[in-house]
Amino acid sequence: MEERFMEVEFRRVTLIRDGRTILRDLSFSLAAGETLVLLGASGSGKTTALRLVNALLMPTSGEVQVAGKATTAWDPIELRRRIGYVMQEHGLFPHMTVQRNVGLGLEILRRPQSQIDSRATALLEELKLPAAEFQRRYPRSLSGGQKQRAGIARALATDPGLLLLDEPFGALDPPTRLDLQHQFLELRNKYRKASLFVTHDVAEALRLATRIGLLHNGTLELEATPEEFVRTTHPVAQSFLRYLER
Amino acid sequence: MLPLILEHLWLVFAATAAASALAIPAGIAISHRPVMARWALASASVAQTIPSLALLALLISIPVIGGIGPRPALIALIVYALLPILTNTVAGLRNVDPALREAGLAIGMTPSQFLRKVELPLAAPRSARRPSRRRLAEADWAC
Repeated sequence: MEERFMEVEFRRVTLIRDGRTILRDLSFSLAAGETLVLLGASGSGKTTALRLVNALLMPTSGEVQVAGKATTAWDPIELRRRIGYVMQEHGLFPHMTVQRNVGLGLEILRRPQSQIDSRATALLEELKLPAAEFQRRYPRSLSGGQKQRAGIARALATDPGLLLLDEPFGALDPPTRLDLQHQFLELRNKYRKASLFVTHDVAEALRLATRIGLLHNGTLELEATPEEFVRTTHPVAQSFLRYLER
Repeated sequence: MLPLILEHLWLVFAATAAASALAIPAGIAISHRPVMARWALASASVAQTIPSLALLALLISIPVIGGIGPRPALIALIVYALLPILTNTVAGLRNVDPALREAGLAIGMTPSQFLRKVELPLAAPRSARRPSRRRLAEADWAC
């Protein structure tokens, strides 16, 4: 199951949908072990950028490369099976137990049931959802934070070469959010997975990112480390940073 | 009395089974094809508007499938069961939360895996509805 890291590179990507330019000439790359946080307001195109990586969308012009191969050249199903995806909420299947949700990535690869179960159980424990208590429960009986823990466990189950996280903690109350952010850092230090993380929360970006990409109206305005980001005079970055001062 | 009850039960069972065998696969086939779905649902709706007594009367004059007795009753029941099963199958499949559709795609499910593991289990409680009791009473009258 050991999966090599898959690097991501956006090369002058433009996406136009229904006559609207959603992303304009976007170029950036993601290297091993990095957490690149795409920070932007709603409508900035950050979720769209994420969906271009796992071939849910295709660029109008330019190219998105994953592991050195354009997404248009990948078999989309093969590509998605190598990428862990964590959604904001409602991403768990309501008719499946927590355990089955977590093991689903392995189930669709037709792995032996014993292997799926032991992997799912281990991940639930790791995400602080004790298997004995949680494995047979359904998503509707979980709190928001527990759902997101299960969602992260599911994304890690296949030991993917890359993680995509679409505002995974956006709907959580502040203490739970902080808790999950710490959990995320812990997992990153342990597994060294490269992640592309989308958020509109500047505090979250500063806490989790190794690098921040600031998106504004579909354009990458700034790429900076958190240390550089807090010192920049860029007006859009300033508009986010003002939120932190009180 | 007992043979009549048995015949009644058999009619319900056979009509539901036959209508399901036709309408559920048809519903699955058309749920992602909007134009076909519109046509199929429209023609099933037209069939539904024919008064059941008129349909039974019509069936009397048709050889092989018609006449008088359990056979035309069965045919009429199938015709009336088609629409609810078809519409509920289509509605059930279409009602799958777009977020779940995205989750299924993102995890790498093939379309057939998504159908079997997500769409059908989530749609199941909706599509299994039997012909209404009024239809049964009218079909009973025809026997």
